[in-house]
Amino acid sequence: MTGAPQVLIQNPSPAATATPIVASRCIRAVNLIKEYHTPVGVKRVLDGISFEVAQGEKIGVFGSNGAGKSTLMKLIGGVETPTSGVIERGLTMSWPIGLAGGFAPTMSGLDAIRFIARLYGAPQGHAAEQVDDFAELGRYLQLPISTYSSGMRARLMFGLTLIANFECLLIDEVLSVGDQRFRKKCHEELFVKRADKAMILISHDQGIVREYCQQALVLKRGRGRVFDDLDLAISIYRTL
Amino acid sequence: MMLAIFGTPSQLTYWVMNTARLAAEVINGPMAVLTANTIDELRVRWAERGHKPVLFHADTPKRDLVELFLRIPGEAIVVIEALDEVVWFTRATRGLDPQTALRFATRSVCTLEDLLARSGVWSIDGGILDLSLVSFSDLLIDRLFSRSTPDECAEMRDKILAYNSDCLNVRQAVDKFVKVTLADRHERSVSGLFLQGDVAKAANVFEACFHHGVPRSMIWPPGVFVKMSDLSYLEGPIDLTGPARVLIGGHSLSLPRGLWRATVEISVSDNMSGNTILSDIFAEDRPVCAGVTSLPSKGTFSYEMEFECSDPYYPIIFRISTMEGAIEGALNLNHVQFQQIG
Repeated sequence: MTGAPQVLIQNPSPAATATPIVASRCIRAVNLIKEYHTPVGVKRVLDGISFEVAQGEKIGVFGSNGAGKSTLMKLIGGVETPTSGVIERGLTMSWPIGLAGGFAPTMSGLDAIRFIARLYGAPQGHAAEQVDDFAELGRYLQLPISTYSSGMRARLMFGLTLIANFECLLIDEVLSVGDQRFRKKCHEELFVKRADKAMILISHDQGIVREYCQQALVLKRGRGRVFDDLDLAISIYRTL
Repeated sequence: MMLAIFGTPSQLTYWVMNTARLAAEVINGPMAVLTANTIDELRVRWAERGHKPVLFHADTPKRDLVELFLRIPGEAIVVIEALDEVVWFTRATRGLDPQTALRFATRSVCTLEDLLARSGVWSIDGGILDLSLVSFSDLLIDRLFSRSTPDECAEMRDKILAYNSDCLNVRQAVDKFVKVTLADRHERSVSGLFLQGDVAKAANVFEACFHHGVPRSMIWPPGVFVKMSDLSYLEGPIDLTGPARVLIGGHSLSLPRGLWRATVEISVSDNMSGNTILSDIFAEDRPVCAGVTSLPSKGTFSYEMEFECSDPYYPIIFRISTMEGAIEGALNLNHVQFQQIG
């Protein structure tokens, strides 16, 4: 049969209109507040932070020391809970890469690999190979993590991230540790091989943020504001 | 002979200069006008004229020239006309924009004011406009040429009255003089030549401080300050968001010599992340006073700054800068009040 294609117009059924709207796939933080109780009273570390990262988008996070960057990363990564506010995790999300911890120090590198592989349903043999390719720890993988240097630990943690195919990567200054070769490998894994992933990237490296991010969150004394204008965000950060 | 006439760049000054020259030429023959605002300029230009009799004029004398004339005896005239007259005249004759004209006018008024302390000075202001021409002629001759012979005095009076024929008083003579010298630019009603809005307000309060019995206090409204981001005049609050930078500057007016207190009133809003501002007062490209203020989250506040204005030749510039990058907050400069305290 030839001729113009027929366009069928159907009224939506009652059931269809009742279907809840599926939230767009993104990480969304809404009015996050984080307070800690200290001997001198309640300290508000984060105060009303809101931002959104959609699939494939990258946001840089700037702030001087004590501005709340790492606390924010812990909240987003689920390591800690906010005092109030909402975090909608519409994407599978890594733990904060660069954040030391999360594994018992008595665990070996291989134990950690097996644990993560099991958790994310990845073949263990392939996972170990993939991590070692990146981390180059060799036989050290059989030793407890507590015996690792900070550089070895950073390489392991980064390598473990590669096991799971996260849709959003939380990166906390990982690019500022290790030697030049390690940084180059990190850069390759993150920004070349995983260019299509969403990222929340804490970095003092303004060039990285300018090159790869579409927006920047600038934190100051616990408050935060998202800028689409990266030059403006960087100029603010430089004089914070 | 050097007949010295200091005066604001305004119509009354030029008319007085012209009239005084008419009289002086009876004794000295043709006299050139020599304009200088520094000793060096005076020295060079007088030498160029072979040290012949000149009518010397300065509208914004620098400190060295003022001090020279304060030290030496002799007759001199200081004409200080109302600020709006100076602004109008400088705009009409020199094409200055309103703010530049006001800046020039205040510099002139403040530097000339120092000369009023000189003995033998004849101070002239707008109050003389209603004097009859005959009375003014007699006064001029009496103040400047008292040693002249009766014949010379009579000739001087005749020349002055002849030049200002048909004029009954000084005001009419000045108006006629301006019509002749400015041709089609003399219309005082020409729109735009007078100051408007906040700049006019600033000029008015500025002028008031020169009147007898009025305390030396003035308020600079926000509209006379410049937003440094685009050099436009301030209108409403400034968004603090951005890198550390100079937010506000202005308004480059001279103040009379002395100790001053600046009271700055600001309103702050949405400043939840605690910004800090630096306020400073500049004169001659150097700070004469500076202070740091931590801004509260919101509200209206004031703070004071004391400084010395040692040379009115250099305009006072008040600035507000943020000391660190800001992600939020707004600042409104309500006004800056200047009060002389010594």
